Amino acid sequence: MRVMIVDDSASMRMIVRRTLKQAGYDDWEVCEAVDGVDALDKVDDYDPHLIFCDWNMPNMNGIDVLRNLRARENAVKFGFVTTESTPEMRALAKEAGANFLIAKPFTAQSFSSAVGAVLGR
Amino acid sequence: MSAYCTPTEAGLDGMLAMVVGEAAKASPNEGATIQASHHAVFIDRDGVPVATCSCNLTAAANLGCALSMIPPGGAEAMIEERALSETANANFYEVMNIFSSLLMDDRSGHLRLSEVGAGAAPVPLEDGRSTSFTLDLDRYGKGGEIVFRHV
Repeated sequence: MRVMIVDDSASMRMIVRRTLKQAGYDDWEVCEAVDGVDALDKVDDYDPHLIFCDWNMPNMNGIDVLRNLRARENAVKFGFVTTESTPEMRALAKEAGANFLIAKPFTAQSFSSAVGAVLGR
Repeated sequence: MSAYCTPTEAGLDGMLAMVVGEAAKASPNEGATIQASHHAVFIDRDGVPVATCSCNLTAAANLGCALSMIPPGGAEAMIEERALSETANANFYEVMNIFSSLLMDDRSGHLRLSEVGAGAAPVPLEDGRSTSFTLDLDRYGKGGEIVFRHV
């Protein structure tokens, strides 16, 4: 299983990695991207099965990353990991093609629930 | 009344669970002051300071170490030496960055972390602008104190 973590904060990328391990996904291969532009640069070569993406980032925000991927007919499973968790944001994410949204602060259980649902596990 | 949020015990617990682990807990601080060693300043969109977060040395060292899982012994050594390592300092900055969301919600103004620095200073807790907690950071132990203040 290949996953990509997209966040401009190195600490948040580290916390997401650690939380994935705590949630039991410790054998997953992880690639990191520092913002939306970096994610789009890497996504074709890395070909992830699942992307965890922050919403607010410099250069290109998460919703634009998702829209760009879907416009390219890339159907990768995509979830936001973000403090932006209002009903409006959730609706916007769903409309753009997101599979899930994990609100910060999160726990290993948050990841298990979201990932389990999207992967059917 | 401030345009920003007052951090709650539940909110801080959630952040600590994410940064340190789910056994980490915050409790309201009943003291009158904390002897702070590290301070973060948060600014609004115009660059005006609107809030601060100060920690005593125990909290700063433990949070700085916990983020990248530096062993508790490392934090203890920093407390004894009264100085954070470069990594712990950088981690502490990141923790303050993460904690900035405790001061915001969907209806509040937007703020961001401007600077983090070290400097011993007593911070009063009973001036009506402060919200303080004691921290139990699981394997890093107790003794940490943190105070958020609206400017």
